[in-house]
Amino acid sequence: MHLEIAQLTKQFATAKGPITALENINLHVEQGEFICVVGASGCGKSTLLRLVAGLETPSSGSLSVDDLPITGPGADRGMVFQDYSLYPWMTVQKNVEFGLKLQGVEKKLRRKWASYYLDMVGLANSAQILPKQLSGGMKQRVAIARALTSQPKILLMDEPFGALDVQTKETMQQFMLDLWRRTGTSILMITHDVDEAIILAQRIYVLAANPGRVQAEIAIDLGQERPPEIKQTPEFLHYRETILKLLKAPAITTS
Amino acid sequence: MTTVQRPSATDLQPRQSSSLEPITLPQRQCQKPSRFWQLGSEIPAKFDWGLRLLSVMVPLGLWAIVAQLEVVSPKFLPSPLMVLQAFGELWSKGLFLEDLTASLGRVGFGFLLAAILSVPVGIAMGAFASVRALLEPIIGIVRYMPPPAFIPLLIIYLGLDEAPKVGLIFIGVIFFNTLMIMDAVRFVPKHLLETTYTLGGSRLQTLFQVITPYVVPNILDAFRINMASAWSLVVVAELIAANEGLGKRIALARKFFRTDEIFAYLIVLGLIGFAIDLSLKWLQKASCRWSLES
Ligand SMILES: Nc1ncnc2c1ncn2[C@@H]1O[C@H](COP(=O)(O)OP(=O)(O)OP(=O)(O)O)[C@@H](O)[C@H]1O
Ligand SMILES: [Mg+2]
Repeated sequence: MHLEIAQLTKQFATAKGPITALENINLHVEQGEFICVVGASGCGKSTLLRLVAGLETPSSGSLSVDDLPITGPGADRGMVFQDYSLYPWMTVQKNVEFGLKLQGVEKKLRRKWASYYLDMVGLANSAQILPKQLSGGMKQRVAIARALTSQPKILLMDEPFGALDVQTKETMQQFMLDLWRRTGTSILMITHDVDEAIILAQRIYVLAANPGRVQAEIAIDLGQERPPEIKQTPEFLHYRETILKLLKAPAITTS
Repeated sequence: MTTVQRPSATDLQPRQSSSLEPITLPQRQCQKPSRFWQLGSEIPAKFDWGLRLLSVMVPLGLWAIVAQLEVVSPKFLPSPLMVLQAFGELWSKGLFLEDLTASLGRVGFGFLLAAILSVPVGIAMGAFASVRALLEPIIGIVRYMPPPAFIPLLIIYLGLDEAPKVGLIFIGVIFFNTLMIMDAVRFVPKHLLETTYTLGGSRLQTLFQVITPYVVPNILDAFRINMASAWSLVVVAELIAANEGLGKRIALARKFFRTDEIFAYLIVLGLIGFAIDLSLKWLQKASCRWSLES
């Protein structure tokens, strides 16, 4: 897997004229990498992810996965939204199977794969219940299992833990790290939580706003094991300070 | 165990804002709990059923008393017992079942035709802006033409048989049904559709396997609401030209000044409408557990 974004610009036409959400973005994700994108609210993070998912079309520039240009949404790029977006009428099991069903995989096989990923996210016992009976953290794990069951080349996540409380968030971060290590999936994740980005990512792209552009690319060299206590280490605090400083830097105003 | 230092009293003093004059508020009180007047929550089941029983029994009792006192002549206001007798008479003559099947058949047929058409058209209008732009204006206009105003045309075109009656119900139901289903489809969360795309779903699969099941509860809601207008239109249709039917019998009863029969059929109309509504509600409960609260 190789995701390549080159000179990407995205403008939205609005009533007050076009606004530039993203300008000249260059970004790449390699096989098995966990990449986070951080940035202030409104700097175009969601737009960037939606472009990768194929849910928006670029104004100029190119996006490609394994050298194939992205022209629309597809199962090779799994998406997890902040609001979980589970199908409320399907059981957890049916939700997780659904991607394979859409792709015409026979029932027996998709059952097996769904069970495999449900087991991996620790929800094997909840397979037969409806999403409304789950807590927020559990719903998000179902959404992740559902995305993984379709066997995407890359997993895209837009602030997946944004709606969770602090403790659940921490649990989910450790869960995500563990899942990533076990599956070897490539992940591109958006967050506005700098700590979360440092805990999870191998590389972080820091975006600046107005227009959204890459301000810095920071390699996080904290090794594979990243327990929550790592937040107190000097290395972690150094990364944290660097990124927070970047985010606070006054936006360059063009007039 | 660690103890957290309590802040001293002076720390907790609100800072005085010198520019604003102080307000004196009434002494703070907690809201008193209430069993019956709790906003938006249930009352105990026992009371619930009791009140429901009262809702029917009180009007029935008042009617019985007023009739008993003969405030007005029984010719105008028959007693409940007289109404029951009139009903028994119609039943034993076989007229009631005949009327009921005739009316139910008309409602059922007209409603079914309207449903078969309005579900796909409504879903298409909600899902595709192009279909919506094409159909919304014309439906928006036609739906405000009162269905009974179509009766003369229906008679001219379709004669005096069953067709114009079924047609009237069809006209009365289809437009509102279509627009209500369209609105439901437009409220399907966008992320749900986008998730489906990123799971590899085509637009057609999304339409049939995501949008359609999502709006089933709304479709049943639309059916419940529009069933009420179908039920009143069948009576209107039968007032014109019919040999049998609940509405027809009421019109005939007027000719012979049989207020007891009119009362009997009015009650029957209410009860059957209520039963249809309850069964649609039940269907909703049975088929769409997921959409119900809690
Ligand atoms: N469909 C759209 N039409 C017009 N403008 C849009 C659209 N989508 C996004 N924008 C604009 O693009 C900019 C970036 O939005 P985006 O949602 O990507 O920001 P974000 O970084 O995800 O913000 P947040 O952290 O609050 O989620 C904003 O100014 C927003 O108003
Ligand atoms: Mg966003």
